[in-house]
Order: sequence, then C-alpha cells, then structure tokens
Amino acid sequence: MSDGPMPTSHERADERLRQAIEARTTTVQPSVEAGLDRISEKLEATTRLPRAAGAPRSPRPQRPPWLLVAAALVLLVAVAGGLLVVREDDGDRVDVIDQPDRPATTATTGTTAPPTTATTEAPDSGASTTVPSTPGPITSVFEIPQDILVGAVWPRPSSDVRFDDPVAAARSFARYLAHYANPVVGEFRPGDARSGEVPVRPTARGPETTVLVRQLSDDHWYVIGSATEDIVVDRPASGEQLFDSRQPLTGRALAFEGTVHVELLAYLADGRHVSLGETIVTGSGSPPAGPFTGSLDWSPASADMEPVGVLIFSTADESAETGGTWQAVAVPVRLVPDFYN
Amino acid sequence: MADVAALSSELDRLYREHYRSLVRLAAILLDDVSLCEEIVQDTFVAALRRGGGWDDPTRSAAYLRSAVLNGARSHLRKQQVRRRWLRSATPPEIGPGADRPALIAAEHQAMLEALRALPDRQREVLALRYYLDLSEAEIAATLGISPGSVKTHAHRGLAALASRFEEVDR
Repeated sequence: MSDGPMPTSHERADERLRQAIEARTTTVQPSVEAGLDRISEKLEATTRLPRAAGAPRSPRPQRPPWLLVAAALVLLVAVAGGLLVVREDDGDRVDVIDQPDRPATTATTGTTAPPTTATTEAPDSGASTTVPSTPGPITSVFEIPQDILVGAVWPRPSSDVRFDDPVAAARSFARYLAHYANPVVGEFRPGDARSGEVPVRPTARGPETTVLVRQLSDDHWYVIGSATEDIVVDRPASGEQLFDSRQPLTGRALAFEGTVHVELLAYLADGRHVSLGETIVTGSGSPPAGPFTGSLDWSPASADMEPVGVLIFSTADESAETGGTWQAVAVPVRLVPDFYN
Repeated sequence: MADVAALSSELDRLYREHYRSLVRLAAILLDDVSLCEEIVQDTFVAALRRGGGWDDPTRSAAYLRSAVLNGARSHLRKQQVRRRWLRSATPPEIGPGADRPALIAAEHQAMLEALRALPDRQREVLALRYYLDLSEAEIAATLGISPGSVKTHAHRGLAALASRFEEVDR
C-alpha cells in the first residue's frame, strides 16, 4: 500500500459516515414515556404467565407473552422487508465472509502431509460412516490430504488456521461459522483416540449443540460437523453430493414457529467462505419435532471455489438474549457445479 | 401510565439516560424505528428479568448496548433472509417507493445502506465509534472483543466504505 490517495478517501468516508449517522440519528425521536409504557405492558404480560405453584422459573423467557411481541415483530419485519425489496437489488451479490480473528492456538501453513484413505464420523448423527473417498477432480486441484479435504468443516484446510485443541476448534466454529454470539463451550468429551465431541450452548442454560471434532492426518483438530436434538437432517446426508441446481432438504425440527434457517457455505481457495444460497424450512413450533421439507437453489460462486462445502441448519435466539444462533447443525457436503463436470 | 416503580432505581436511571441513544444506535443499523424501539424495550425487559447487578454504570451501559446490537443483528439477519425469500417468490420489478420519507439525503441513505451491508462486527464497531464516540477500549468491552480487533474491524469497515464511494465518485 502506498501513501497516496488512500488517506484522502478514508478521510472522505470518515466524514461522510459521520454526517450520515448524525443525519439519521437526529431524525429519530423516540418517546421515553411511551417506551416506559410499553415496557410496563410487556412486564405485566410476563407476570400474568400461568405457572404451576412451586414450579421453577424457566431459564428462558416463556413463550406465551412473547408470541404477541413476536407476532408484532414479524409484521414489522415483513413491512421492513417489503420496503427493502424495492431498494437496491443485491440478491446476486456473493458475500465473502471475513476470516475469523486468528485463534490463539498454533497456526501452520502449507499442509503437506501425505494423502490417506480416510473414514470420518458422520456429523449429523454421531454414527460412524465412511465418507466417499472417490476424489474426482479434488486432488488434482488441491494437494491436501483427502481426510482433511473432505471431512473438515472448520477450519478449512486451505486456510492457514489450525487448532491444537479440540475445544478451541469448537469455539471458533461456533463463533465464526455458526454465528453464536457468545458461545458457552463445555469440556471435550473423548470418543476414540482421535475424535470426540464438545458441547456448545448459546447461554449457560441454552440447548446443547454437539460439535463433533476429530484429529485428522496432520494431527490438528477439526470440526467435522455438529448435531442437536431439535434439528435432525435426513437429506442431504453427510458427504452427499449436491449438484448445481435445486437441492431437496428433509428432516425434522422443533424450533420457535418451526423456523429453521438453512445456508450453504463454500470456501474459496484462500479459506474464506462464501454463501451460495439460503432458505428457510418449517418444522414444528411445539413438541414433538415435526417434519420439514424444502429445497435450496444454489449456484457456484466462482471457479476459485473448493468443491466441498457445509450446510448450516440453524435457529436464532428469539429471546434476543444473545442475538445470535440458538442451535446449529452442520452437514458437510460435496459440491458438483457444472464447471467440475 | 408509566410504571416507573417497575424498574429498579438503577435501571430507571439507565433507562432515562440511555433509552433514546440506544434506539438511535439501533436505528443506524435498521430502517424501521418502531422495530428499534421494540428491541430496546425488550432489552430492558430482559434486564429486569435478569435482576440486579446494575451498580457499575460503565458495565451496565456496555451490557445494554451489547444487547441492543445483538437484537439489531438478529433482526438484520432475518430481514436479509426474508428479503431474499420474498425476492425469489415475487416479481423483482418493483419501482422505488414513492412514499419513502425524504428526511435523509440520498447520499446519507446510500452511506447507511453501505454501512448496513458490512459484516456484523465492522458495522457495529463503526456505529459505536461514529455515533457514541466510544473509545477502542469501550467498544471492545461492549462487543466482547479485543481492542486490537476493534481497530482491525474499524479499519476494514472504513476501507470498504471508502472503496465503495471512491468508485461512485469517479
């Protein structure tokens, strides 16, 4: 970077941003008293909650009083969404998501360990299955051991991030790929000599997402998937090939209003990930978990994209207690866009 | 009407001191002001449920800002999904809304939209820095990240905005 025009454009952006924020905030004049009235109403609704005598207070806000608020929010969001539709159309833009801050664990570059014939634990159920080992064009493009290339959900082998600690790998996955706001990460639960699981929760009492971790052939720890009780994905299966078109999605879910967000992420050669498509599927809003079906339209981001990706099925924290993800299932998949055929 | 007694004295003080600025903070990130008010109100409701621990003004303010940013982020993500969902389900040819309030100049609106399109952390760091004039340490405490990360996010975010508007200026 040279000391040329950059400072000027930064200064200009700095000034413009300051003015835009000032202009925006001066038009917003909320009523303090009206806000207090609304808070009182919401509190009153909360205290009217039916609760069995002596029953312990739920660690999460009870559903009923929130339903009215949530319904109002959904309407507002729908209106806001409608307004946004008429604005700039950026639907075809591919968002490149930032690399995570470098973890505090050892980072190495240029993985050169020899390829192995790998079996990897299926991340969606914890059952042991063999990941398809027919590499196709993958090994000709990337000189990366097959078990890592196909099995690693996080970190991607093409990035220079590596973890010597399974808990650190799980925490980084939760924070940067699954978008937990402040994940509460438990202790490593060993499975066999080179694999195990790490419980991750959105809050101390929130539901567990079990992050499956494995020490792959370069002796570093990788996340190979995640599973929860409330979201069970039947299709696609772990390691399934997704062709460049409409991908069916089936499974069962229990979530607030039954809504589960689905996003397909793939990786560029430098380890950054891109979103190839997203949708929502609807399971059940009350126990037991109900079936969901849906489809995901996706298309490749670029020829620079790795031919593996991950589908994230997640639910958001509807209480806004954390603002992040509530539960997340990660399913590694193989991507077969036209230009690989 | 307003039941001030429902709030603890500390929260009452925090409410009176911060309610407007928290709504405005959310309004930098979201278009719908009534939604921003809901988010801030829900933050205080959650704070009341949480109970005490509001004696430290610095930490309390950081907690409230953090909760509001979390709420705004959550809604922004849902909006993005919903927007794409609606776009795929409805004809895309819809003209600009004639009734859109012209309170904010087009350039300011464009800048706000560019800000909202930034990654979460960059967007939030810039909002805290440019609206509340918080120091790097204060932003770090609010977002639960290191001061070094704050600096990085601010630099990247501003660079992205500068790059975008540099192209527009040409």
